[in-house]
Amino acid sequence: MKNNKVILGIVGAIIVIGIIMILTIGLNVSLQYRQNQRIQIMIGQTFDKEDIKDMAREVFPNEEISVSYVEDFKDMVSIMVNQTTEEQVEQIKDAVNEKYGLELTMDDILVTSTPNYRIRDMVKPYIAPVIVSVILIGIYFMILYRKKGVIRVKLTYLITVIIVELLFVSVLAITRLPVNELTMPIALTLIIISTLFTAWKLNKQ
Amino acid sequence: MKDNNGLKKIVVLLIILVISLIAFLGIYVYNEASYAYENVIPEYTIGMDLKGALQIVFKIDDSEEEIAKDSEGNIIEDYDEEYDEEQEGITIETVKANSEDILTSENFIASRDILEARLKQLQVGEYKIRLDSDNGNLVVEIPKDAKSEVVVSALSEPGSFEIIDSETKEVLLDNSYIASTSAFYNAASTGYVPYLGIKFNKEGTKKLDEISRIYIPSTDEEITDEETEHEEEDHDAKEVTMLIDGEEFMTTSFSEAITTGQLSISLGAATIDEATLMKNLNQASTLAAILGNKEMPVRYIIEETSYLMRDISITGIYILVIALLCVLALSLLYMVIRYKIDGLLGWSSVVGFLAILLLAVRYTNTTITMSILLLLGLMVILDYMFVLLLMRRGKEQKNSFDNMYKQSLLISAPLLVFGILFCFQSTLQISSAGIAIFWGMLTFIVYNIAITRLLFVDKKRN
Repeated sequence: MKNNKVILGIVGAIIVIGIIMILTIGLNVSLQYRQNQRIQIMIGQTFDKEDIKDMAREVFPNEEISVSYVEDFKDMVSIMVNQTTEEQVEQIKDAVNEKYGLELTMDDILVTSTPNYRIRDMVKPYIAPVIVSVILIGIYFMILYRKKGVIRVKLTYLITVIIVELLFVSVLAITRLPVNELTMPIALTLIIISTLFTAWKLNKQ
Repeated sequence: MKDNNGLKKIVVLLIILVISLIAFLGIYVYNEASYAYENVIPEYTIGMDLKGALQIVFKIDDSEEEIAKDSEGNIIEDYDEEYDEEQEGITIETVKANSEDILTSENFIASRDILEARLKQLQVGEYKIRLDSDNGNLVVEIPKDAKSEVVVSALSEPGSFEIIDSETKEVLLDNSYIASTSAFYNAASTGYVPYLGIKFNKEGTKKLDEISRIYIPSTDEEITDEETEHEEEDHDAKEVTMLIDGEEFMTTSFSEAITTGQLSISLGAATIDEATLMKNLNQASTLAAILGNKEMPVRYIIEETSYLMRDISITGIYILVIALLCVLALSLLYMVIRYKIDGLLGWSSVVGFLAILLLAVRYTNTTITMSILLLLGLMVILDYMFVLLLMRRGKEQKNSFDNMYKQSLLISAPLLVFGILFCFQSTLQISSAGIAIFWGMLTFIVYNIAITRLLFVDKKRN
């Protein structure tokens, strides 16, 4: 009983800190989901992505960089960075020319700006199916474990799901782990785990 | 009895081994056409989040066009500057593709919503739309597959629809009268005909009914009744023109009154050639997506389309594979040390479970996404825990398997709700999660009663 209180206290503290951090500095959104700029260079021959990454690291020190192949031929590269200047693009161009013996000019390099991907757009498709599922499963629990009290069972399940999700978001906010493609699948998996945990707990009682 | 029991277990283990080999390595058959051995087990379909996306950059169209107007303000088509310069009253106006008052944040949002609606109508399960609220530019990410060409063409058009009088150019019907659109095909005597179906709203249905009674083809029949003759003269060979984005799509008249509010326009002749049918059907789908979701308030041009592969390094994949193998090895080690032969049987059962799940994913052509990987992992952990608890309790309880099996089903039954509900979602990340849960649960129910039970139950009874 005492252990439970300690655990609940820690969980509560993490959630409070997490919420404060979200409200003040927000979540750390990954480079792919943030507003970014893409430098696209046609190299015209196969190349090692790591070499381009090294060049980009020299031009953009201490910055998050993502390097990917463009098209299946793998002879074109895209360097994704937070923000770039003409001077930095020129440095990249010179480094690529030197490494691969090319004579690229600034006109051969395409720089595009990509707007941010809103977190609400990422979350929106999950809301309705998750709410409907949680309600239906809540009803299932209420029928199956009615002897334990209908309201109690329903609340136990709802509170478990909400606490687990809040804890996840808070951990993301505190640890500054980036919000990326994995975030929503993990959140969904956690809802399923908390459902299993509630079922196991109710069954055990 | 003991020998039978042992033989049964060996057979079950062999079955698991065969299933696992098929799932992890495949079945290779010599293909005479390519002179090589090819895996006959379907390949995994990888999702956009793991493979990469086709990125389409939409930029606000800032082009300008000069148009000539006569003294009455009518636009002069095919204006020839040299020829017409002496005519009086002709004015040249510069028209922007997007006037300043159109470029508002409300219109940018409306354009984004229209693109999203088109993607939904084309049943694109994975997409990302990014809007730059400052300048209105849009970036759309979709998977690169057989459908992507259709999707790109459906996104690139403004979607203006008009049915006008061919002579007077009076607008009879436009986008505001459309309720929904669809693409379908019907069987005819010489093959299949693809159609674009347009369903009009209540007001549009009424208007279409009126138009279809007025714009009828000319008739050579002799009219005797005076009143009818008068009507026929008025409506002789009146035609309508359908304009899509200002371009003439077709000019026609109606052979009979349309009271249903539904217009079916055939796209191409009847064909039995699958490629031609698919091509025409794709055109119908594109038009359906364009016309069924309002006209874009802002005009865009595609600045760039490029396929960006995911930034996943080979080293990262190696690390992941090694980590998974380590987990499998550690789980085997733990089970064997703790439960000896039973541990080995239990571990084999879990590996067989994973193999069947992977085969189910391949044969149902489920797209591999982050969600499916996580949930397949969860289902395997669930099965591992079931086997572990079975071995732990097996020594204490006589009917341990049946009890454990019932308890597990009772606990995991809610997952079926998630599985079934998620399967029907249009977002691929959610539907693939649903498929993983559904197949995971189904495999759990059938596999454990058919395979795991044979590995454990008889021994306990003996």
